[in-house]
Amino acid sequence: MKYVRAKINIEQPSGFRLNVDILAKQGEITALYGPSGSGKSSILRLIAGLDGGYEQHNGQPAIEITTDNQVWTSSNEHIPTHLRGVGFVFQQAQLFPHLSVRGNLEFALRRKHQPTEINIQQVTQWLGLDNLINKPISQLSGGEIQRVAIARVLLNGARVLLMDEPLGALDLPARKQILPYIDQLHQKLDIPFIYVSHAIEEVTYLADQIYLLKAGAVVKSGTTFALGSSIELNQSEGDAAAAVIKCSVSDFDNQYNITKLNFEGQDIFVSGDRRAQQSDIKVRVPARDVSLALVANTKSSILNIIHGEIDQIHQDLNETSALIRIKVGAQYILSRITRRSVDHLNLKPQQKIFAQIKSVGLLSE
Amino acid sequence: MSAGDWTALWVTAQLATITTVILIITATPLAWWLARTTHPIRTLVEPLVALPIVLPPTVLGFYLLLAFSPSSPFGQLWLNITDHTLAFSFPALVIGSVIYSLPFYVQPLQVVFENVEQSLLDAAATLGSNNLDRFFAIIIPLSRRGFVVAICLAFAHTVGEFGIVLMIGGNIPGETRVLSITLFDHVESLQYGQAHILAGGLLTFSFLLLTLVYGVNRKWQNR
Repeated sequence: MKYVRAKINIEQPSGFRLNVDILAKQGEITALYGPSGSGKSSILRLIAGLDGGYEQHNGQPAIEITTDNQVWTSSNEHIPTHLRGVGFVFQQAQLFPHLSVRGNLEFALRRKHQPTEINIQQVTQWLGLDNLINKPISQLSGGEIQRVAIARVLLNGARVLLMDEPLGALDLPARKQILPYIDQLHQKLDIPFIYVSHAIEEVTYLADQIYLLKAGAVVKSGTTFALGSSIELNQSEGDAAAAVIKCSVSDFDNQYNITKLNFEGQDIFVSGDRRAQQSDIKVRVPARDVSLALVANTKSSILNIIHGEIDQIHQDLNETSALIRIKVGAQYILSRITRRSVDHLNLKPQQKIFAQIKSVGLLSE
Repeated sequence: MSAGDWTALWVTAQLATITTVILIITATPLAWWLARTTHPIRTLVEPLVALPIVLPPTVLGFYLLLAFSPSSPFGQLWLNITDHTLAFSFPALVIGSVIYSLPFYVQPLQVVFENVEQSLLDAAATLGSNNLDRFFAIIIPLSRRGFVVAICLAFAHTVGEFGIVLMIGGNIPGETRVLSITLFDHVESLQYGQAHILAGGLLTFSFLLLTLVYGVNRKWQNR
């Protein structure tokens, strides 16, 4: 399948209005990101055909779910869920409690939507489930349950992948363990993939396209690079606020085991040898690790100092800190500093500034 | 046990088996519908299904007798189609038993059906499972406890019915004469020895069946 598109304009009995137009293309991870209650999960359920009854709104067709070769939902069409071929990973994985791990996988394999090359052995090996295969579901940990859910979707031959907060019920170590699997799953399956989350780290790690949702509407949408460093996406993230930047490898320093990256003509250093990564490297720069200075301070232990120009200053008078967006070439980084510092340095848009970056994290590992 | 007792046992076994099979086929969907529907008509259907629990069997028997008589439209229709009168026949007993045992089958099943999470059925649907497949692959295995209880109660309750049989079945050996009626006849004619055999047998059977029900309940509780 090449794409799935969801045009939705409905009002739920509770009065909640959902009005979005989402396009998810093959080969990309499309993230629906926003606070809980913004309508993310409702969109996935409507795409899967799990919720019906909203086909009209004020006499107009209210839901149009289409793919490149089929109409799934329209005012006079409703393909039942089991014929759509959606691979759905839920927050509570919804494994069948009366079946073992193997039983759950065989359930999916026997009902697969299209022929698949992959077999149970390959899947369990990839996900490290070999030793769990005969266990009942009740004996699995949260991380194991979610891995079985991923295996189930993979064996099922889905034509489009939908994930609704798949890491939401997991603790941090389990989350870190599962996240790379989801990224690899996307590489294994060349199909449209919609990922719903309210965790900004997951979204910037995984997504190629981001839809920022609020109260049932799309506030902003764009690529992760375009949107990842925006004030809108980060303003309510507190310490999790971070810019996402695109760099390329320029050099490796064997003596210090440090790789030099090219970021808009300036240097950013990251630990280790990163020369194996040929294409663009996705780098995450946490806003709280970026401090600002009016002059270049070269006598500092801080390795990465980038000069740029202040683009936007976002201040909320109820908060101590401000979020500053700094333009560097064609890209942006974010800095979270106190409002006191903003006034103290008398920061203004268009001002030249030096950003001292304490730490950077690579996302595309 | 006399030959007549054996015949009564055979009639009873047939009646309870046929009644239970009919209930499995017709009342399972009813129990599922009651467990899931939000339709307002549910508030009428639920008490209707439960009525046989509180009604004296003779009341139900009385109305069924009227319905089965050839002078009623239903009884007339039956006569036209089968060429037999419905009242005081084995089919009459079956119809009466199905109605009388309905709540004992529906209620335990409805409870377990209500506990089947919709989210599991949603997950199954996304995996390519249609309505019927979901019923057999997910709902039935998750509800097996309820099925055992419902089937045992419906069977045992049919074996034990008396009043309604007396009203609509009469006492025709080999046709409508069931164990409970036979027991009554023995007592009336002061054949206490034979009455003891039947009463003791029914007591043991009921006890064993309920032991099975509770055992299954406990065993599958922590699933």
